[in-house]
Amino acid sequence: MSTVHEVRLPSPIPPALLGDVRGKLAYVAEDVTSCEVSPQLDRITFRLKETPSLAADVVSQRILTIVGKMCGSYRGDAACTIVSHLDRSVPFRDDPHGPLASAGEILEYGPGRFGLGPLPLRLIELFESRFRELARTFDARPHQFPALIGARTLERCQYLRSFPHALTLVTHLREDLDAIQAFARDAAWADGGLRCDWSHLSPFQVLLSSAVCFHWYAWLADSRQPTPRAITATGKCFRYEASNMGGLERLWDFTMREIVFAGPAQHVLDARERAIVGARRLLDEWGLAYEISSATDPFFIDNFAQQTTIQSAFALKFEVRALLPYKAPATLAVASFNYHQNLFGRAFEIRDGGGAPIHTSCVGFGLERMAFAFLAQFGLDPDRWPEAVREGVDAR
Amino acid sequence: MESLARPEIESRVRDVIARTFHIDARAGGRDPRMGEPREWDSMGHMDLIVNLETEFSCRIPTHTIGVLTSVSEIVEFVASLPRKHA
Repeated sequence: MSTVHEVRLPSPIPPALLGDVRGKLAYVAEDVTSCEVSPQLDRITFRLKETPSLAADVVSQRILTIVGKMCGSYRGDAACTIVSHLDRSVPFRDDPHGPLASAGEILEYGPGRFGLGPLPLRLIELFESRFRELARTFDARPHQFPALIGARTLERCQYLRSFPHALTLVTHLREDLDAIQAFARDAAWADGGLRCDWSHLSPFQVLLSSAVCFHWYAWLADSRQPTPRAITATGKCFRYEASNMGGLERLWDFTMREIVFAGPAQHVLDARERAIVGARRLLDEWGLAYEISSATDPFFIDNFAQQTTIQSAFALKFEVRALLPYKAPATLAVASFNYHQNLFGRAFEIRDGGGAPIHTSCVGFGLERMAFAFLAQFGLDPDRWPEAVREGVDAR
Repeated sequence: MESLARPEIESRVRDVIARTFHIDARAGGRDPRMGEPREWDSMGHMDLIVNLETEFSCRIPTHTIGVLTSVSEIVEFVASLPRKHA
């Protein structure tokens, strides 16, 4: 039987950080089956599974560590909203997961892993074609990148340090006849995982990529870029999110269309601004209820306070958040507009004509989330969709 | 309330910048600003902010942090603080 325990916090969690803290509580310990923050934000109740390997006071201390690191140096919210159309009238109110599953339009293979049928795919193809058109207005050259990304590349991006909880590590069997034969003989599914001799596995040379743009920075590494450049690519992205993964809202494995800019600071900032204008035009055409507001990335706890403060202070990230009517006022991030300063220019030794590290920005559209948010607002019946979307889908 | 005298503020600001980035902030040439020296990047900026808060016994809000990217901007900000931040 599970046991319930309570942690009293030294001070309440700032309301603006509640979502971030909740997200990180999923990583406290495998023995924890649930974690809930009290309405006053000053206590956290957690449930430990039967015969846990960790004592309750160890788990309590871990929770205090998470909250302390994330909230201890909180400086106040600097959120800003560029535009809000969250009050836009939309005709659908239900959770679309059930209808989509009943209609054979989605299948959940496991947490964060979904198959999609023709209806969501038609929407994705429409949205994707319009995002490609947007990319063409920047003369962004089309590229294709692998799903695998070198561990060294992610190390240079500081991704390993900033987002360790989100990594999906890749291995293969070592080139060793005995190891391969032993694996073929002994490997078996047991207790929710594939059991095998770990000594037969290779070191982690690659991971599943968490973003599209990192590949391009690695492509440009150790080069001079005297003139601004832009590329666009669609790619599979992988971000493990533990128990936070739920339905089509938060996938482990998703698809992103990115437009990436490199050049002087003002150039990439202007490009990001133009991309926001272009995205707004599309979202308005499709009739979505959304807002565009400042945001921060889900850094892990050690870097969280400092990195999110930097992002907020320098307006480095904006997100499109689409309304989810079935859990209003909740919203879902479906796109982001990011300015990285010269972080990647320095990390990958990419320099301008004068030898200074280049600046970069990127725009990312989450395609599954776009389709899901649309279906959550307009339902599965195309007759209830805005004309621009219905005709766009029919024309394809 | 009366503010600190600007020359004193500027002197202390330059000292904090010098300590943070291990440079001579009074040397000739261009004034230090974010990006120059190289160590004054966004991460270094957060170290500078913490050191400024200690020096002037204040709390710098998030929306102000992004503005304090040069000696003159920092001096302007500190001069606007109430006198207790001496």
